[in-house]
Amino acid sequence: MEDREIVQLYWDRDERAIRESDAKYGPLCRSVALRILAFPEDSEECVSDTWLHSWNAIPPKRPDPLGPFLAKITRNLALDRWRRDHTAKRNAGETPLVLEELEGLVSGESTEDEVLRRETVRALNGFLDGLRSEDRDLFLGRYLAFETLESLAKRSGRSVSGVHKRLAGLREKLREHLRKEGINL
Amino acid sequence: MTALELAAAIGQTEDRFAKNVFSPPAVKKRSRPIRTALILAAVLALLTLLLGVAARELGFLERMFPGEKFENLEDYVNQIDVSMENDSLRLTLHEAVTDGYNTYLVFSVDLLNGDSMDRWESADYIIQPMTTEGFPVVRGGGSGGNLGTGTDRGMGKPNRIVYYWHNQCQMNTGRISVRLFGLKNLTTGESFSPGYLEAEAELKPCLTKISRQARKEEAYANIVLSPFGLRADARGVDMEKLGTGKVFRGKLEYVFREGGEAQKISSTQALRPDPVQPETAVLSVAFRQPTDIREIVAVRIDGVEYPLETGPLPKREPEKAKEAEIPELFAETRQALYDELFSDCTPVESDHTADNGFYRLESRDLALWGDEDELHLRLWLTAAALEGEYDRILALWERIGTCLLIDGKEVIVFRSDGRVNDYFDSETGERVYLLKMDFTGEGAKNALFDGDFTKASALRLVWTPPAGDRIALDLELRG
Repeated sequence: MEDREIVQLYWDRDERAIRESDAKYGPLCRSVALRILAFPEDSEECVSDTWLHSWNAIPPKRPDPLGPFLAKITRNLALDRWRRDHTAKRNAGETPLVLEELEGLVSGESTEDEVLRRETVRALNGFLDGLRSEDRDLFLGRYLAFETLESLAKRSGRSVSGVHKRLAGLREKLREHLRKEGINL
Repeated sequence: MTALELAAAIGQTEDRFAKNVFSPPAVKKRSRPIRTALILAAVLALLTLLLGVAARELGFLERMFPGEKFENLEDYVNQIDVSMENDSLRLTLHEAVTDGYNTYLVFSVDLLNGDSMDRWESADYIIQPMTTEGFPVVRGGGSGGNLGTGTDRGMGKPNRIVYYWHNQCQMNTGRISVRLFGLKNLTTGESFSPGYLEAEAELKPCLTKISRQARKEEAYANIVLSPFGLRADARGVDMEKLGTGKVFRGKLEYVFREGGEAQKISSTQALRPDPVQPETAVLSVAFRQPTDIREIVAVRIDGVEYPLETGPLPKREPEKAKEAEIPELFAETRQALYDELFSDCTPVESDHTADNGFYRLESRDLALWGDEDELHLRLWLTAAALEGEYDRILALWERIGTCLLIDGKEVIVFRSDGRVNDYFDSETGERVYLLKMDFTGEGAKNALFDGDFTKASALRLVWTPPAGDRIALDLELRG
């Protein structure tokens, strides 16, 4: 079924929207959740929650394309769950490695400052807008989709060490961008 | 800020950046049974066509369990074979199997004039699981709604759509009802509604084993084991910490012979709030495939052994308590919802009403304005049963809106770009609908109607109630 037809089912409040979403994008969402959580049972629950969130988000949203929209919901839910889960599980999956890479950009002290959070998102949008599409896909492949370095290497036609170096360069670029924007994380 | 908070912020960036990022996994995980069933059914259909062999007469259910131990279910299949038809369509319930909580159903829709179903993408139906006494039961496993359905094009019968439907309920299902309203072409918006058909069947549950009342010190009560899995009321769970549910981390084993060693069965286990019994948690276990439970004499949870015996499912009351909570919740915010709905306009009273013999739909407050490029509609509607109480079975807004042009000859269907919220008002026994529709900008593009709104004479709202034909409510457009 085409994306727009599935989205229309959501707008019609037709429960088949969930079935069709699962049929078309369930594997994608499961793979995203599994990368972050590493446990199939947790991932499955996360994907189930994705359908609830998409049910609540559409309408008013009319995402096009639908796949990245759903995958992003899964990603955010999985990350949230990862945060809540007990520490014993934290060594599993790609998440610890990704977070370790991001640690160089932040102070490490938790913030409750909602303004700072919003400003960070705005600055990130500006940063992503300014990147070449190849770099943007690489950056978001790693830090949004939690893809492994091997998978990114395969997809981008680079070596693993090449991806590693490029990501380091992009993180440095982000640090500089945030500094110029006056955002101190 | 922590790295995790930065990662969360990256997840809030604009969607347009993510378009190339999320790609399907290169290696597919093991399919869930229903999807696998669909693929297998498609392959079977192709093989049948190639070999020129007539499709065997619908022994459907095993197609939902390909490569799995369907023999563990065969003895429990309900052969329904109930058909209802009108001049144009036939609805047939073929087979079903249930353990009271998981229900698998196969039904089909035939076009009786022999035409191919090719132009119709889907039938338009509502399925309602019920208790044996006919009370509708809550559908869906916590947050997922239907666990999955699928169709295939009838194995050499081009005039047929076959549906494979699987659902998890929160109560013991003993009946199933399928209501067919017509056929739909989701691409063109075309609908074919020759009349309403309803088929219902009583379902005999498969073998279940239960644990009688647990002792005080035992953490699990009302344990029910079936070939599909296990469920049990969990005691002493901190409901606040449980939230919307979590994966069960306890040790779960099955004892196949008295005094014998316990063994694990591959399964998915979750602990969730029970929507039927407030302040209660339920342990829900789904086996990876149908399991022969005949030899199982006990289940061991976290080292405590619960003896099992064959018996009827424990009685669970329909969710009256929950029904009462909904209106109370909304009573507080009713005014806020009303204010929000009409925040950018001044509503007028609207007394349009229509019914189908079972349900009445009535518009109460209406605001409608626009010019040739824009149309805005805000509407407060109520729906009520003409006799008895509003059936809590799902009702749908079907592709809201048919715009009737002023000469009355042309009917243009448009896709709504609006929002429908609804809630049940227990004081009046009505379901209240709030419609907020804006046909402007992106909304106007999405609408198939690209004409001049000022020339339309009426707006038709089409509602699919829990029973009877669809109800159309025509709202006159003045000025």
